[in-house]
Amino acid sequence: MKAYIIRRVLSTIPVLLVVAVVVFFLIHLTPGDPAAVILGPDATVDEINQLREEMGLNDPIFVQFVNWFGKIIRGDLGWSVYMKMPVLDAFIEKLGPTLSLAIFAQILAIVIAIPAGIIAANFRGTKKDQAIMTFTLFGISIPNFLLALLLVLLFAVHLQWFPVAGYQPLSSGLLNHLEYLVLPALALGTIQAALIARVTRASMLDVLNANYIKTARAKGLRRTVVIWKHALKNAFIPILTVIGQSFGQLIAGAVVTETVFNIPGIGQLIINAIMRRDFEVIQGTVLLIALSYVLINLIVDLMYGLFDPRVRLNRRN
Amino acid sequence: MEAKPMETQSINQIMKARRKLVIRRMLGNHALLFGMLILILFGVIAIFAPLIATHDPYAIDATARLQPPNAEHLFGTDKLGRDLFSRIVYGTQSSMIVGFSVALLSSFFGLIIGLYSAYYQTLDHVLMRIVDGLMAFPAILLAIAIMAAMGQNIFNVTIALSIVMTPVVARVIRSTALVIKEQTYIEALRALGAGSLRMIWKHVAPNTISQLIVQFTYVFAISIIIEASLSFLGVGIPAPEPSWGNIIYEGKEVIYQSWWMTVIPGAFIVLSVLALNLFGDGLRDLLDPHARK
Repeated sequence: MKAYIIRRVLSTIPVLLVVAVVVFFLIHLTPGDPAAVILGPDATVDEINQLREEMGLNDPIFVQFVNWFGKIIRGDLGWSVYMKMPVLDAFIEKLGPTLSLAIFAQILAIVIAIPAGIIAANFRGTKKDQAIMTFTLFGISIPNFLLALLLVLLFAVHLQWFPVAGYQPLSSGLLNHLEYLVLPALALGTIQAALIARVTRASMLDVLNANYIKTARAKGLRRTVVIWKHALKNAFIPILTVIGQSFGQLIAGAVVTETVFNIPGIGQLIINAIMRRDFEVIQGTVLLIALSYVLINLIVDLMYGLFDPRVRLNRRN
Repeated sequence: MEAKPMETQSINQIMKARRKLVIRRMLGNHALLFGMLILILFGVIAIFAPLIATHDPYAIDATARLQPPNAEHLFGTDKLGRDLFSRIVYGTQSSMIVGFSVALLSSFFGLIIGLYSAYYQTLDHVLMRIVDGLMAFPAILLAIAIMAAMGQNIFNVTIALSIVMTPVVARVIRSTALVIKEQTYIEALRALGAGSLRMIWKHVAPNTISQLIVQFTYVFAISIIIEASLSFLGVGIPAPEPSWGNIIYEGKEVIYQSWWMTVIPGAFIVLSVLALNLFGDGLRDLLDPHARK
């Protein structure tokens, strides 16, 4: 187990390095000379050159990368020119609403998708299965900003059951908090649910064909017991994988959904940064989200190792 | 000596019978057919957009602001009085161009990366770490960051999405190629001393084609979704140029009175992505007998 943990943790290092290189290149793709931007239009060429020297912009690109990487490791993700605060602080300030939305949507998705996937697998080929699969097909075919807008049209504008947009922090009371989050979470969760339901169905179908399931049935156990106790437990690994791997998509989805509902989260941070051309904010935020994705998948993988001895003994890729 | 023509004849017959079988299966698969018909329809709209559009998509008409669908403006007008039918038709063109180009580019590079990393172990370690690193970024966010850095236009959208989608195709092709590599006939070829170039392109690559075609349709579908999302967020296809995403963005401000600006382009997005997904699923079942239990 120890060897497995060490191997798995070490394997994230090259991935993190690639993530860092990609973000570093994004910074260099950005048009305009940062020194000229800071000094404004009145600066002379000499002044710009001097600042470039001070900022290390005249160093070889490799040296620049090492310096930048050193700063990242110390938690310095850059400075928001517009918000006048470190990018990391801005990120943390806006993280709450996004996390709240993502978690709520994920719970909603799991609660809907796993039973739906199991039912579809259990009644494979019947009307129930077809109905569920059609629903998931729509779920993976609709962009979440569109679903969000359609939900607003129906439930907020027409039926007026929920507020059109806005956000109330958790400190204003749980019910109040959730009231504003229902529609965004529904928009985000439905798409997530479609994905998880498809994987659950496929994974359950695989397991239901296994011999130990036939044995369990043959020895007279009831179908429901076999499905929920024997099959689900073993079908769970692919389901857990897709939940872990779709984390990135969930956060990205939350970012897009937020803009529809004017939720003051990471999405708003990024969109405002784009409009104000506040590039360090975009790059820092994207870097942090990629980092958390890598860490979450590391944790998911280590959990497999804990639960499934086959995984920790020989797992490639 | 006489056996030869007979052999070719029977092979021809077998091929003919197989082709017939494939066509029959295609006709029997309603989802595949439906997807294909819708796709052809969208293709026709994209290619003949100038002929189909009833108005100039950029023409502003202050007297016809925010009209609901009517005989003159089939899909209504936006808040500048521009004809939405024409804008959506031209938007179809943009989405199809972006989706198709991204699918083409990422299939091309994904195929090369996938095949070579399946074949050479050292290269595999390097390439797959890069692929892992790129896949750690949520697709939309990486595309947003690339667009913000490179500037907005339809060409950059295509490049950004290709960077995002290539690793996905590369992974699938790699795992398919790894399975093929272990087959006996590849082993036999190696024993016969076939060169690596010949092996990769003549014997492994053709067997990954069905996977590649299926991935092509999925990448096409996802690209449409991401392009629409980028344009909706204001970092995709830039404003006066029409795209499904930016029409919906403009419709968001007037969603109370003008539902058609959201619902109609939205229906186009869903229909095109749905068609691609149905087509892709259908192809997968058709091309991969193992998936069809």
